[in-house]
Amino acid sequence: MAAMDGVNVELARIFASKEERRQRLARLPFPEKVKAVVQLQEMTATILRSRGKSVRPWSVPTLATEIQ
Amino acid sequence: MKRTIEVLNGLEKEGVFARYAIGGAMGAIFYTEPSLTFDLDIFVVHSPQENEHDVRGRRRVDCIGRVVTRPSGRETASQCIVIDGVPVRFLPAYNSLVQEALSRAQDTTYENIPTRILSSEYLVAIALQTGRSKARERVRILREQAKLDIRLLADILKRHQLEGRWQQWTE
Repeated sequence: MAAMDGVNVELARIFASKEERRQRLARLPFPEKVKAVVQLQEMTATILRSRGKSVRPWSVPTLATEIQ
Repeated sequence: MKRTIEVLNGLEKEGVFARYAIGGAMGAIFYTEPSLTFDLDIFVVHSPQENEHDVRGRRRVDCIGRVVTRPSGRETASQCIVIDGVPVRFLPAYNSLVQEALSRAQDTTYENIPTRILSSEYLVAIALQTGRSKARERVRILREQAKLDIRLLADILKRHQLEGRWQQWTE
């Protein structure tokens, strides 16, 4: 039981950390968010194209700052 | 994106449309964490002399933007025009809710360039009205991350008969 509680505590910590990161991303300045969107476009474009979708990442500078 | 907004401001100044605001996914991203989208949805109020400006506007689009490229066959299919590398979809204010949203859009700046974004409460209302599954996800994330003015939202939902769907989607 103690081991299970340990897992739950760890899971709770991970979920809280993920939520905190999402909130932090939501607070980024809009231009930084746009750069993050372009990075997402670049990451997914190849996959989407291989599925036959016609997509083109925006030609704007990509994210310069660390958001991980 | 900066140049795209400059072009949009130029088109508004030239009277191609009376007013514009960023909406759709990019509008929501202003208030939430970034998510994947490939289009920039721009809601527009047409100028009073719509037809005349429509014709003149197309010429102006060509004049203002060497940055504006004519859509290729594929881009035409998605009804976007590419402005400085960003596919822009122009959406006319198609009903009273969108007209109201545009009239009350929030002034902001993007890298020191003035622009406008639909307020988070109207983005929620428009998503509810649209009713698609993608819109449902947008409502969920705006509820989570945007600081919604609940009184304003309640007023909008009441006036546009969207309370039922709000309850359905949020219970």
